Amino acid sequence: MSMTVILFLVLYFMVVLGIGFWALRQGSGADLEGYLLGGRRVGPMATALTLQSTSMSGFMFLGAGALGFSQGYWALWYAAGDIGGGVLNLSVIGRRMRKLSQMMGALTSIEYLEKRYPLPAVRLFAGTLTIFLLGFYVLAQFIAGGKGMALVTGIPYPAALAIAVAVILIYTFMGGYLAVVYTDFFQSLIMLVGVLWIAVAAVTELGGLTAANHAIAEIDPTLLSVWGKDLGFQGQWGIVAGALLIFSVGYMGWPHVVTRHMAMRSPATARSAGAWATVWNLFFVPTPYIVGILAVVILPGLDDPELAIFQVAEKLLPPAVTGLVMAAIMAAIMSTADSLLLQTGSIAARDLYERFVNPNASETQMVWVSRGLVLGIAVVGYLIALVEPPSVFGIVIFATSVLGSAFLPAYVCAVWWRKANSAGALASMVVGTLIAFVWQYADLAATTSMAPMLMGVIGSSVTMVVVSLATQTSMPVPAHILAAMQEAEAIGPIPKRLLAATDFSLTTEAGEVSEMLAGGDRDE
Amino acid sequence: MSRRIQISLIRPLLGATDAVGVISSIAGSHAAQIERKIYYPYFWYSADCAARTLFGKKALTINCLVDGRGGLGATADSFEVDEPAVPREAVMLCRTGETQARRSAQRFVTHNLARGSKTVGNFEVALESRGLVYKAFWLVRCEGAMVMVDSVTAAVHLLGERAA
Amino acid sequence: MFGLSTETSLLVFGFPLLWIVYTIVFLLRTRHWVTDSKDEER
Repeated sequence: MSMTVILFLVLYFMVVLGIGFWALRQGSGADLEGYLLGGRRVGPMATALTLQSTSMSGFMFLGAGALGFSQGYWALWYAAGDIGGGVLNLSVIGRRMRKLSQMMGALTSIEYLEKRYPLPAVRLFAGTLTIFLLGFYVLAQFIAGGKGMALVTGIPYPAALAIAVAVILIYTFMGGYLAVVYTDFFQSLIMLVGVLWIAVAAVTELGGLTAANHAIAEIDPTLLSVWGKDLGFQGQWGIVAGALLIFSVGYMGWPHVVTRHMAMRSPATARSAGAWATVWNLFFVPTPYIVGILAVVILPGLDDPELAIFQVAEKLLPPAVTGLVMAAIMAAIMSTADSLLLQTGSIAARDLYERFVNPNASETQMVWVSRGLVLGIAVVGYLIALVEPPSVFGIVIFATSVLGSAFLPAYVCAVWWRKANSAGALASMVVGTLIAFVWQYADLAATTSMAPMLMGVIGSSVTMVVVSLATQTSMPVPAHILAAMQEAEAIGPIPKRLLAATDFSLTTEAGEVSEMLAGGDRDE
Repeated sequence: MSRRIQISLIRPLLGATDAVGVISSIAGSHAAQIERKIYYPYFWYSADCAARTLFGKKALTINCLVDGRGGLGATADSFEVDEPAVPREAVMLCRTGETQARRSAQRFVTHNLARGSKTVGNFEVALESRGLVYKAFWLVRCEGAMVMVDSVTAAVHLLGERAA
Repeated sequence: MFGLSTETSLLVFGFPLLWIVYTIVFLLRTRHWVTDSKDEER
């Protein structure tokens, strides 16, 4: 890596730190307060920009590129589902979940599950499983960060990995500057421009997409098919279905994605967010896969497919730009890791410790539980990443398969099916998890040509329906939940527009006032 | 003449005409009319927070309102408080206990700070109770539906079918 | 198209098109969800 690249990388971090420092010292208190509390808006476009760009992470830059390089256009089956994941999630669950979560007073998505399916085991299982699987996703970021750092600086992987993990821990424990809106926006912008620049440069280098595909055909024509290298996946529709499902519906099982619905201001937000998600995804989801595919021609001697995108950048971009883009990518990876660690810490503290171990836990105690878990994950993650790093792609697909299988029916039925009860939910989560795990571990996909995600989702969905119906009388859905679900319906044409203008922050008050007006209130 | 009681009221920014205007503009109709005005209770806490960042401590004070009936927390912009005397029957009684409200406030402020600052509990929150305050809501009827309008934020929420 | 087979072209361009249509349908079906102007100023 040239000195110019490293120079610009360092320059980038200094600028970001500088902005953060200035903003925190000089910036108006109200702005900081607003940003920290997530109350103030920066403007819908900027918000959408930063929101979408936080989904860029190690998977995108290492995993997607690697798959494109190894399997050619087969990789786009994953992109095909992913492009619609955002709008699908928002259109199916978004508004209703926001409303229901507000009415039940849930602050986190795990808490929301227990409130909707009142059974302690639901929270215990969901919380534990989520921590375990988010830990895997963190591991993927560690590996991405370590490899990226090693490539850029030339430092050997073990040390680069240690630095990456250390920086992530500093972000997570000390944070602060990351929370400033200006740096988020700045970083997002650089990354977007960078990713597009890499893609355009790659296509231009090969003389256009048609010429590029001809060149690929010269090397290995099977890479241009939809069945992967050597047509390895030919006719395996079960695997294809899995690939399509992973990032389209699999997202509905991700707590930190589903949690965003809970922060929505009004139904209009779901609408604009859905539109932005599609626009964004159209540009940025297929791109890393395609750059990986083009790397087949650009970097014929590539040893580590996971470094395809980084090395294409290094080869084709001016060193200064490479430095900036690499820095932005590293920042994105670390930011994702930070968010995930925060989630696991929060789940451990509230959904497990406070809920089951010490209901009177003080905030200080919960902070220590959070920190303890984060450190634990960091240590274990570092060791695994060091000794036997799995592929980033493999980790993310595995984690998403299990989470999707476990939680998809639970979250969807929470708002759409009045008969979905606690027994059904718990059973579906357990069955989905088991099937996905076993399918993956025993490599049953190879023998059955059915992806773990596909089998897991089918299994958990069927279980949800069968068990809920079988236990309707013994474990009915509580009346207050049915009432809360009722409220999410629309009524008539004019009221529909008023419903649309609903500010969710008033949902509880509205419920109380409605009850009082209906005469149900006798304490006045 | 109805009995009047004195309450601490968050100074409204919207009058009756404004409330009707808000609903009319959303619904695109001129059939909106005020049905009544009610006062909703909140526990008011002043939270002094110190967020520790890479560059030292950043202190900020946040207003937190806890719903006096539902027990849920929310942060609020700073506001002025008046002490008017209002009709007793328009005042909704508080149902949440102070202990639960305080816990709710603590939890809510901490949760939001953690989310916004993306750190694992690197801040201290000191809550100071400022007592019970009320917020006025306008209940507006429009084309067969009943809507409540927040007199401070102008936020709007449809009320249930049974109430209409 | 671009030197790709029909199948591959369908994969590359077909799904994106599908999602564009889905999104447009979603936006049309929810067009009553007009943003309240009060929402923006905060």
